[in-house]
Amino acid sequence: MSVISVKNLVKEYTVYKKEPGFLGSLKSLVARKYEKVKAVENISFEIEEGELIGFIGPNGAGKTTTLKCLSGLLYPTSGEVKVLGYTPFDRKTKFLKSIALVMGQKNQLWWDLPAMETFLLNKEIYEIPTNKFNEVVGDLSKLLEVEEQLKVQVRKLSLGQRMKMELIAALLHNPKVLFLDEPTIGLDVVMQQNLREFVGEYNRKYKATILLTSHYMGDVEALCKRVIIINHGKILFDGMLSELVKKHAPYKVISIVLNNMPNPKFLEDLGEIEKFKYPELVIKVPRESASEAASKILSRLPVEDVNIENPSVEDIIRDVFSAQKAE
Amino acid sequence: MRYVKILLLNLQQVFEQRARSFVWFLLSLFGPLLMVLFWRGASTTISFSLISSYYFLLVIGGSLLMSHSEEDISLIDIQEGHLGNYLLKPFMYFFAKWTEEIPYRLLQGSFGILTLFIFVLFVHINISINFPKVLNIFIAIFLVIGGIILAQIYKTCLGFIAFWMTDAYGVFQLSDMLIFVFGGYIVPLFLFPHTVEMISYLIPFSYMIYFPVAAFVGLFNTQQLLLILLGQIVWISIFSLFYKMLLRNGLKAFTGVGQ
Amino acid sequence: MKYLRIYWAIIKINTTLLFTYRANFYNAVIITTGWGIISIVSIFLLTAKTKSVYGWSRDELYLLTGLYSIVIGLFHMFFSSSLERFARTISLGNLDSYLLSPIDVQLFLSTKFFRPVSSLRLIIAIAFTMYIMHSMNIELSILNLTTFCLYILLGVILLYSIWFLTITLTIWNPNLSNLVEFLYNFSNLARYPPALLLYTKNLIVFLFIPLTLITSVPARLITGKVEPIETIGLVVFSFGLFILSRLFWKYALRHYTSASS
Repeated sequence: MSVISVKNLVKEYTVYKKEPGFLGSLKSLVARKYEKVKAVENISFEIEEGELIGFIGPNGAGKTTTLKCLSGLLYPTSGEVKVLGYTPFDRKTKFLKSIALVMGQKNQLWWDLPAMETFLLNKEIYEIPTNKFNEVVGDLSKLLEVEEQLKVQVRKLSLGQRMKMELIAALLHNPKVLFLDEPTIGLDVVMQQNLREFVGEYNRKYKATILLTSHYMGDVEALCKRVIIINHGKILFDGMLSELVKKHAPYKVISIVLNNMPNPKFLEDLGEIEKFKYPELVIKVPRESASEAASKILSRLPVEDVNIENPSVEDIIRDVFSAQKAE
Repeated sequence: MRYVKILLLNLQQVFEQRARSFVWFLLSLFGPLLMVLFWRGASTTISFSLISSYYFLLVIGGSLLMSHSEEDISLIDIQEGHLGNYLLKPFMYFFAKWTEEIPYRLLQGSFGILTLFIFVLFVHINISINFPKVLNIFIAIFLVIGGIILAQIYKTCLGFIAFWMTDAYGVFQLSDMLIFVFGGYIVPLFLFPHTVEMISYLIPFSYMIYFPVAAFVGLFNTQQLLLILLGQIVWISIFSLFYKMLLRNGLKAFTGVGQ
Repeated sequence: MKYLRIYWAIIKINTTLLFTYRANFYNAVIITTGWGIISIVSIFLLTAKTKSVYGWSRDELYLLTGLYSIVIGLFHMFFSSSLERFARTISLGNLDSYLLSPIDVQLFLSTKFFRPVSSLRLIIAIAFTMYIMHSMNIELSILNLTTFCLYILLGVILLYSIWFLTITLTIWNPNLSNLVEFLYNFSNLARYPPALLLYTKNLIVFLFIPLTLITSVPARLITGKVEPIETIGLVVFSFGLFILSRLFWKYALRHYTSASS
């Protein structure tokens, strides 16, 4: 049985529209125009135990709304959502004790007190036995390297440290299902790296099912095998990251640094020229003929350096989105 | 002209929040209304029509006259550092704040006048505005304008406390308490014990709301009205000096912490 | 048991919090004692030139204010601070972390913040009430004292339910977080006799009558002028509104949109 199953989920919001200008304001005094906006439009997917899935999409694509429906914060307009066999919106105690939602910009920590105080309150709320609590706090703070900061007022912590404390607070009860919404937002590169490693480690160690949304493709590439791409409330792709690369990027990119200015004639039948600005030359070639093209290049052109790469995931995703627009 | 433009923009902003603004108005409506009901059942020698007129005009007075700039100034401008943006612009900070406040006063004042009409029409409440002389009307109008200005300068100065205190909430509440008592929200000041009444005439709070409202009820003769106007002018001058002093010294403290 | 342990943790946290910043502590003291004293002073001012109001003598009116201060002191100590943040929490779209907690959300939202300083107001109120009772030559039997405490408890529940119901409305319009300021004022109604509202002969105003029962019922118990209808009203309204507040909250959550991001 899947840990998470979503069938035809729809979530609508009512939005109020205002005409611009002072007159518009006056008009809105009398009658406001409301509009229904579909944040999530009929999406379905299944997630198995222990999977670590990347949930990708631009701002306003419906990622956060989906996560909130999954964690029981929002009441779905229609469709069926099951997490660990529960209907999230019922917010059964057992359900809530086995999930966690971490949002990069939100916090549950007590601002003027050390993070430890919030942990202690959560200990009571989640009914965590004392020895288990000490073990988990010890483990997590060691893993995240914040042992020294547990007794420091939260407002005096750096953004990264605060994020780590948020994570500990959310993971104290050892959730089986973890929703991470933009966990690395606003963190520096080293912190991002740190946090990624931690998430991967948590997934392996506890066989936890993790759904992660992120702007940074780096997060997704480093952690997730499977990705779900969503835009305008619809799923555009659901499958292995490697498949996505194969399907939407049936080409490789050959970057060349040239010695001399080549004869333009030689360039013609190599493949699609992406960029040519002497001495740099970038060519896109079909995946299966990549090695053939490479040998052609080496034989014909005065090459200083050559590099064959897969296109970046960022580019692929952009392709997916622009393909959708064209439809 | 640019002040008009800024004012219009602020008006727009306020209209956006009309529901919120209405709740603020309910706040200034509720207290006086309750008092009217209370006096209705009181066996006393004081004329009920005088008392009810007083409280009803207090509804308008409270919503039209009393500025609430202090929290905005202390929390957003000083503590979050938005003051810098104002200082960069070529108009006086005091007027900038005032243009932000006026739309609220206008909206709330009109809520007040509207409510008054509703009461007069449907509940048949008698409200007597009493002026034996035309001159008195003019002075009373000046008292209203003076009240608005005095309240605004006072609240601006109050907000400046945040230059030196990180949490001035207690001071603001204390000020609200003083305004509540000496602005005449509980009972008109002439019902105070004699000594307290005399003291209340010497401090600025009565000049913000009580006197303008009581002037319309017709509690004072021309001579008294002029004396009150003089008092207002004195207090406005004193707080203008405070404003200059506080802003100058405050800015030193403000830039000192490098915000 | 679980909830007692949580509440103990909450009390510890809030007490630490109170002493974390000195200014915070002084502000709290100024505000509670200040308003506490003003509500007592104002009844003296209002009745200075009056013999009785709606048939309630001056002493009885003082008594109402004393009782009101007891109820409001208790309410501010245990609930109002949390409810105030509850409104702000909704307006900031921060309800999520509450909703994810595996405990009763309404209870958690209503009790997460505890205001120890309000005990000052409570002490002033009890002292004042006892003084008034003494000057009226009234003594309470043990039985009456127990009943009295029960009435006060019902009053707190009634007041709580009205606050919670009102703040739940902000789920639909988070802009209205200032309803809390209104509620602080509105609760003042409980200081006056129900007759004040009955006088208006207005159905909408009648809706507010439950609020006035909070003090009139215990006051009548003390003065020995019991009105059975009012007593029944207090019991029915405090239970009824409490249940209503729970139902309404469950319903409102369906319309919670969270902060869009």
